[in-house]
Amino acid sequence: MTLEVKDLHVVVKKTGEEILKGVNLTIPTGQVHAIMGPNGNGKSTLVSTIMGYPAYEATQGTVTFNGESVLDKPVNERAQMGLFLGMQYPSEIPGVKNADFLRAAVNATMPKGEMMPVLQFMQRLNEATDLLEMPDDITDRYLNVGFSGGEKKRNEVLQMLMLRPKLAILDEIDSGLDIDAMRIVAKGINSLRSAEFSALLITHYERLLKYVVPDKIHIMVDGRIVDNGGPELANELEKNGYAKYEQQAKGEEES
Amino acid sequence: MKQDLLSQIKSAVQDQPGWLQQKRQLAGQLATSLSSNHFAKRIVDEWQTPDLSVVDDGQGDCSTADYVDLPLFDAAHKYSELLQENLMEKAIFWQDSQLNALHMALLNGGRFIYVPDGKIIEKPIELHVDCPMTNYHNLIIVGANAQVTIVEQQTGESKCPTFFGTELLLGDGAVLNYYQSNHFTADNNWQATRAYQAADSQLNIYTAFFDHNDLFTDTFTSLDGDGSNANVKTVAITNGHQHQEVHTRIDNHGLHTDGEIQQNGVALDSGVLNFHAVGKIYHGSHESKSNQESRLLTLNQASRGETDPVLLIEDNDVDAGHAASIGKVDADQLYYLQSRGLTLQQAQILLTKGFLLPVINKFPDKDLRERTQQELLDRLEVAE
Repeated sequence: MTLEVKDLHVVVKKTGEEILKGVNLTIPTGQVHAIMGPNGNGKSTLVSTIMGYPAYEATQGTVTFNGESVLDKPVNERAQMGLFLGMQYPSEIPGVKNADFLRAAVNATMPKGEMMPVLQFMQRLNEATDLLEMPDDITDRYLNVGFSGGEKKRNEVLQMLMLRPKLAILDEIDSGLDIDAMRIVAKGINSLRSAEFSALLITHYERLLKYVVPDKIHIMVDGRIVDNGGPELANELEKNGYAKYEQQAKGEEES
Repeated sequence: MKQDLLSQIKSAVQDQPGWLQQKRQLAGQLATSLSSNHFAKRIVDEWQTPDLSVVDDGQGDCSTADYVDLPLFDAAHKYSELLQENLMEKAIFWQDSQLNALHMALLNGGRFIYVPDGKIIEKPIELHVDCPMTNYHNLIIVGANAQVTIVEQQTGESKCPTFFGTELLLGDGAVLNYYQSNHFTADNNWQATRAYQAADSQLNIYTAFFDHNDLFTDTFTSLDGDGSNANVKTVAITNGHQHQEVHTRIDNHGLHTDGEIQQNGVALDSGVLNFHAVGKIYHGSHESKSNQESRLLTLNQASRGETDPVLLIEDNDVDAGHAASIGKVDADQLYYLQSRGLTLQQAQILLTKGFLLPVINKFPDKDLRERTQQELLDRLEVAE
């Protein structure tokens, strides 16, 4: 199940402003990739577009998963294909219990007409909350309502563990986490790593990548992937920052 | 036409006690001189050639050693004085409007329940009827210090607009828990549930408006006796092109009376759901409370709702408050749920449940709470 993004251009629907200016990216099955880059350069726009966030519109290019076109599918069908997006700012939904939501989501992403037996669901839920060191009552609370920033991020990882997607995209799952929480979140991601699971991490710190070591790192600046490399690229960025890439991008625009 | 109807009423009431014969004929005459509001007119206009036969609910006399539970017209003979004094005289007034007068005149039946003073009835009394005619009326009297739970689950089967009326009369210190969830067949219907409360009585009304036809509801209680209190909890759903007008009112007359209204509703598709809540504290009812909360959730661009909270306070020494809100589900919430594989409909069902269950979960009787939860699920299947 390979994700392939080809020459993707994306605009903000409301303003027409172009955010992505021709993104190319391939994530083969079984690999973990990371996209790094300064804020406001299109990382979140890229992953939101892949999941189908209604504020963005692809004007050019393609996104395919396992050879199937993604962009013409409704959001829920993308989830059914095995895509998962752990969001940077998860919505709070009063009245809807976390457990009820998880159950509905698990059943919605099962093959058509199938439902997960309650016992299996409870077992998976217990294992996941244990692994993520979450209190039991977290599933009785309303979805993300009154959750701290860290709880929200963990709750995104909990959903990932419950749904077991084929490709998990995690958008700044590390922001606002202290070092212990980051270790726990990393443990959750690593627990899914296998030949059938791939992941795309969006981050602008290299810290998370010490715990979840990626197969490849891509640098995104000004709506394009400007560099690719192995995990060692993160160390280099830590030393030198993004200045080099930003100057390059500026130079290209001027010339 | 008019004469025709009156002679129809005259022949229909022949077997009834004299006072009832007179009252129903008078009501028929009175109706011709009264007018109706828009929603009532839609109903009255379709009652031109009414079926005046008597409903047979198939249950007959359900009385026990502890209470009376009879078909209304049987009770009119057996408890003639009690009915003469109370039927549409203390809570729903037959002379109040054209619709009420016609309801009296065209009455097809109902139940009479009388719980004598001091009786405590453990098992809920259930009111079930599949009513093929249009006018059905329950009269419920709970005597001093008596306690009872009553469940009203009626189905109007007529294609002609149906009026379900229920009067709840509570004596001193009476406690009544009233659960209500009715269904209809006609395109638009009327449901009036009105109570009169004597001193220190306690009335809890738990009502679910889950039918899929247009409905005007009129839930009202008068806290007449000192220390009486009422608590009305309502959940409602409208979908398709359905229109519901939900009116709830509590009047505080007595000293240190307490009225609480809580209503949550969801409008889907092109449905319209309007909540009108009134709390009125009359001059002299010191140390009384009137609080109300109305919450509406509109799930689609086309669904609409209004909340219309009104407090009318004539006394200084009171505690009164209201809260009202109309929420739209925002696009980000729907996107979030859909990104986990839920269809738009599944997401809406989850949100609807989330909005209504907190009120339903406050229904104290476990069985009835679960029954209402199940009704909600059934209702949402229809909404799909």
